[in-house]
Amino acid sequence: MTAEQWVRVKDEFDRARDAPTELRGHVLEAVSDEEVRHELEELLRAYDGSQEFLERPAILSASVLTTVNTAFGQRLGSYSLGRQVGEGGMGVVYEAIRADGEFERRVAVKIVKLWLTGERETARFRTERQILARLDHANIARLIDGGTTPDGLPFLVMEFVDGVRIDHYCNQHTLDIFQRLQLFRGVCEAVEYAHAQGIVHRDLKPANVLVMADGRPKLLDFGIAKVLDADAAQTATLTVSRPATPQYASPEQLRGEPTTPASDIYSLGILLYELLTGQSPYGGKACSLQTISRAVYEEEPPAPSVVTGNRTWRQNLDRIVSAAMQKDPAARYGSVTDLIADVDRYLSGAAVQAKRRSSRFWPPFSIRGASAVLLILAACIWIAKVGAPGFKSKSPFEQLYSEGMDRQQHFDWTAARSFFRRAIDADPKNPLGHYAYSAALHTLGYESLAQREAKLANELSSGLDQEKQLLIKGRYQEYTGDRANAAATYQKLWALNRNSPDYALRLAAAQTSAGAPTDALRTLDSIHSASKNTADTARADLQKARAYELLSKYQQELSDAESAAKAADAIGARELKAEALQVKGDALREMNRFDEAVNVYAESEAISREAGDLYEVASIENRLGGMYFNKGDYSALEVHANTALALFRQIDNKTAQASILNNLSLATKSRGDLAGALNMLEQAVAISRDAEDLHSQARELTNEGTILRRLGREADAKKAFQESLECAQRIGDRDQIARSHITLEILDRDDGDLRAALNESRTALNLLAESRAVALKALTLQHLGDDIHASGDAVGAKSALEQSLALARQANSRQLTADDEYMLADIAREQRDFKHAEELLKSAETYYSAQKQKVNLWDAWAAEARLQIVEQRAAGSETRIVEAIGGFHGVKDDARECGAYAVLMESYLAQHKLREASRAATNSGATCAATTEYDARMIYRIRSLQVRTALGDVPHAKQELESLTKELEEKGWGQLARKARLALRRGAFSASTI
Amino acid sequence: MVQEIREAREEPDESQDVTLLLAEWQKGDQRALDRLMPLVYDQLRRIAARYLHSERSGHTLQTTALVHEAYLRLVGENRIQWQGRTHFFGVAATLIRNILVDHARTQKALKRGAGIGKLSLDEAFAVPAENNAAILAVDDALRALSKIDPQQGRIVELRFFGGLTIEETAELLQISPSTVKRDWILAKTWIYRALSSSAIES
Repeated sequence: MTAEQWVRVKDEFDRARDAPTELRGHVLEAVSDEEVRHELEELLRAYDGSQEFLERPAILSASVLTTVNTAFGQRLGSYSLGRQVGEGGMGVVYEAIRADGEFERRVAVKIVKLWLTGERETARFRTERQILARLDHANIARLIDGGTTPDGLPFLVMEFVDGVRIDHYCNQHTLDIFQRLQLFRGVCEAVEYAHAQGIVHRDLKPANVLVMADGRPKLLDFGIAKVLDADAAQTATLTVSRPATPQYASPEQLRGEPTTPASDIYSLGILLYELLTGQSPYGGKACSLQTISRAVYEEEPPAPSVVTGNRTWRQNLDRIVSAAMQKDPAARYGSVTDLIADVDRYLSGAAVQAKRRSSRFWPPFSIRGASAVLLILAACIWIAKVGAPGFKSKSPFEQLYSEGMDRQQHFDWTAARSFFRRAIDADPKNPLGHYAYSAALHTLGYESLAQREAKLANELSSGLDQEKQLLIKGRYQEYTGDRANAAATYQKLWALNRNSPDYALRLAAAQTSAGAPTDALRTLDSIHSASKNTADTARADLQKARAYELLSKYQQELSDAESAAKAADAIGARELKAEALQVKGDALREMNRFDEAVNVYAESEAISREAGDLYEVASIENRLGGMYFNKGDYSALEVHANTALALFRQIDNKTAQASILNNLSLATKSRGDLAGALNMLEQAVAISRDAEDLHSQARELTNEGTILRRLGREADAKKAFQESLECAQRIGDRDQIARSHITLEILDRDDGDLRAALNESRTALNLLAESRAVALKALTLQHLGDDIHASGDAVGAKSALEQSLALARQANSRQLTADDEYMLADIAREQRDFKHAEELLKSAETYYSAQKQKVNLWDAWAAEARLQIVEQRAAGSETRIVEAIGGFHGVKDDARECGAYAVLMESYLAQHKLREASRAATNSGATCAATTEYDARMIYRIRSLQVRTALGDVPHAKQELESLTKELEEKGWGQLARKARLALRRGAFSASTI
Repeated sequence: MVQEIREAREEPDESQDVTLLLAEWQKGDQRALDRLMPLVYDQLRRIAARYLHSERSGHTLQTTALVHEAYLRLVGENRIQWQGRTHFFGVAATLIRNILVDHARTQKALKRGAGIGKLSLDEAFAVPAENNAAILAVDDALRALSKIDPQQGRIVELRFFGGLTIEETAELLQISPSTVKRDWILAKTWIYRALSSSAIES
C-alpha cells in the first residue's frame, strides 16, 4: 500500500467507524480504489471488536488479549453486561442487568483496572465496599454489590443513574445563578451526609455528578477512590500516588497526603467555581499532573466576579468560593455544613460569613502550631522580613524564598522544602537559602542533608549582619552536635535582642540539650514574664517540661507538658500538641505509669500521622519499642522498632537508624543470638561511621566489643573497645567514656588484674557523677560491686549492688534489676541469710525464664545449687547443675561452663561422692584451661585441688593451693583467695568423713 | 519525600548522568539514548520487582506510577523541566516494550525446552505464560504497523507499553490530543485485525 492509499484509509476510517452499519456501506461504495476499500472493510469489521483491545497498559495486563472478551453479554456473577457507558482512569463502566430469575434491575458495573495483589488486599476491598454500601441518601448513587472478574479484576455494581453531567445540564437548561446554587446545594447535602458517616468522596468533579430527569443531582463513585487507592491507610508512605482527577484535586491530595473531608470541600469549591463561571479556575491548562499541580500550588485563580464581570459577587460568592478553595485545608470551611449555611445566606440575601481573603491565597500569618525545631522558624521569618525587604521587583531567589517562608508559616514543610531547594538553584551563593532549606530538612528528619546545608549556610554567611550570622552559626553547631557552643552562640544572640521570645526559646532548647537544664529554666522564666502570647508560653512550657525531665523531676515535667498540650489545643496548634503529648508520655513513662504513657503516645502519634510527619511517628514508635524492651517484651519491641526503622530509613535519619539497630541488637543478644546481634551492630556502626556520628559509633563499638569477646574473638573485641574509647574522647562525652572504662574493666578482669579492674569501674563511676543516665550508673555500680565482691569485701559490695538495684528499678530496667538480684543473692548466701538469698534468686529467675534468657537462668540454677549445698541439702543438687553445664556447653560459653563444673565438684564433695567429683574435675579440665576469664580458670583450679585433697593428695594440693592463694591475694582477688584457703580445710574434711 | 534521599545517597552521579543524557538526547543525539537505556532499564526492573514481589500487599502496579518513580530515582525532582520528564516517559515506554518482549521470548524458549542455564529473567514482569505469546504477537504487529505509519506505531508504544494517557501522549509527540485519539483508534484496530487474521491462518 502506498502512502497516499494509507492516508485515504485513515480519512475514510475516521468518517465511517462510528457511523451506523448501513451508512458504512455507503462510505465503502464511494471508494473506488480496490485495495483501499478492502483494507477499510477489514478494519471496520475489526473496529467493533477492538474497543477494549490494548486499553490496559501491557504491564497491568493479567492477560493482554482476553480483555477483548470483556464485553457485551458477558456475565459477572448475576449481572449480565450490556453496552459500555463510560471509561475513566480507573476503569470501564458497563450498563448491566441483574438477571438471576427473580427480577431484572438495571445497574452500572464498573470494572476496575487494577490488580488486587493478595488476599489481604482483596479483603480490604471487600470491607471498604461494605462500608460504602451503607451510604443511603437520595442524592448518592448506591453501591449495590461487587466482586472479582474471572481475570482477577475487581468490579463494583452501582445503582444505574440515567442523567446528564451537572455542568452540561446547567448549560443545556441555561439555569440561572439561583438554580445553579440550588443544584450545588443538593450536591453539598449528599457530601455532608457522607462526611457524617465518616466517608470522604475524594474524587468530586462534574463527571461524577449527574442530574436526573427530575432535576435532582446524584453523586457517583462515592468513596470509590479510597476503595481503589491501594494502601489508603498508609498514604503517607506512598511516594507516588496519583489522584484520580488532578484538575479537581486539592493541594494536599496532589502532594499525596491523606485525604480528609477538607479535600472534598476544596473540590466542591472548584465545582462551584465552574458552575458559576463556566470555566475551570486554572484555565484550560494541559492535563498533565505536573502542570496542574504547579497551578494549584502556586497560582491564584481569578475571582468568579472577575471572570464573569459580575462585580456584585465580590462580597459574597467570591468569598464563598475562596473560603472553600483555600490552599491550606485548615483555612477552608470547617465543614460542608458551614459551606451550605453560607450558600443559604446568599440565597436568602443575608451576608455570608466567609471573610474577605487577602489578595494572596494564604490566610494572614497566624501561629497554628510549632514544634521544637520550629523555634528557629520564627527567626527564619524574621530573616524573611529583614532579608528580603519590600515585595517589589523581587529576584527569582527572593520570590522562591518568600514562597517557601509562606509555606513554612503554615507548617507545610514539604512544600517549603521544595521552594527553598529551588531558591538555592536560583542563587546557590545566598546563605539564607541554605539556612532555610536546612531547617526544612531537619524538621522533616533528613539529618545528614540538613547538616550539609547548615554547613554551607555557615560558610557563606560572612557578609551578613551579626544577628543573622549568629543564627546561622548556632544552627550549624546544633545540627552537628556541638551543643555547648550552640548554647553560647544563642546566648550572644539573645543578648542582642532581649525582647525576642524566639531567641530565648532557642537558647533554652540549646541549654537543655547541652545538659544545663537549670540554666534553661531560668531563661524560660523570662519568657513567661515577658510574653502574653499563648503560643509563646505554650512553647516555653514545653521546653520547661523537657528541662525538668533532665532534672528527673517528672511530676513537674508532666504538669508543664500537660499545660503546653492544653494551650496548643486551644490555639489549634496540631504539631505543638503532638509534641507536648509526646513529652507528657515521656513523663508518664518515667513515672512507671506504663499504660497511661502508651495511650498518650498513641494520641500523639495519631496527630503526627495525620500531619504526615514521619519523623515524629517514628520517634513515638521508637519510644514504644524502648518501653517494651525495658518491660522485657521483645516481640513487641521488635514490632515497634522495625516500624520506626523503616520510617527512619525513609527519611534518611542515620543516627536514629543506628540507634534502633543498636537497641534491636541488645534484644537479640538477650535472646542468646550473638551472631544476629553482632550483625545488627556491624550495620549500626557502618551507618554511624558513614554519618560521622561519633556518639553513636562509640556506643555501638562498645556493644560490638562485648559480643566479640563473648564469641571468643578477644583481639577484635579489644580493637572495638579501643576505637570506642577514641570516639568517646574525641567528643568528650563523659557517659561514653565511662562506658569504655567499663569495657576495659571487663578486659582487666579477664587478664586477672582485679586491682586495675576496680580502678576502671571507680573511674567510670566518677565520670558519671553528674550524669543523668540512670541505667548506665546502675550498670557501673553493678560492675563495681562485683569487683569489690571479688576483692573479698562483701559488705562494700552489697552496698554498691544495692545502690545499683535502686537505680535499675528507677530506670525501669528489669534486666539490670535481675542481674543485681542475682549478685546480691550470692552475697546473702555468703552472709548466711539463706531466705533472702532464695528470694532474690527466685525473683531473678522469674525474669530470666520469662525472657527465655537461658544462659542467665542456668547461672541462677547453679547459684541455687550452691545455696542448697551450704544449707546442707546438697543431695540431688547436681541434677540442675549438670543440665546447666550441658546448656553452657551448647552455647560454647566456656567461662560459665567452667564455673558450673566448679559448683558440680562442690556438690559432689558435699555429698562425699569423690569418684564423681574427680570425674568432673577431669572432664572440665580442657574447657577451663581454654576459657579467657581469669576467675573462671581460678575457681576450677581451686575446686579441682580441693578434690585432690579429698582424694588424699594433701601435701601436693596444699602446696599448690598455697601458691595459688598468694597469687590471688597479689592480684587483689580476696574472695577467691579465701575460697582457696578454705578448700584445703574442706577437702581434708571430705576425705576424713569417708 | 523519598527522592531526596535517593538523590543524595544512592545515585548522585547517575542522576547527573541521566539529566545530561536526557538533555543530549533531546538535542537529537541518539548515542545518548543508547547510554540512557541500560540505566533506566535497570532501575525499572528493580522498582517493578519491588512492586510485584513486595511482601506487603496493597501495591497496585500502575505503569505511570512505576515510571514516575523510576524518573524520580534517576533524575530527582526539580532537576529538569517537565519537558524532560515527558521525554523520559517516552524512553520508558520503549524500554518496557523491550523488557516485556525479551521476557516473553525467554519464556517461550523455556517452554520449548530450548532455553538452557542462566535466566536473566525479569521476574518483575512475570506475566502469566499464556500472555507471552500475546505480547510477542502485539510486538510483531506493532513492528509491521510502524513501517506503514511510524506515528501510530509510536502512539501504541506509548499508550500500551508506556501506560501514557491520550493527553500525555499528545504532549510528548507535540500533536493534538484529538489526533492522538484518532490514530490510536485506528492503530489498535489495525493490530487487532492483524492478530485475528493471523489467529485464523494459524
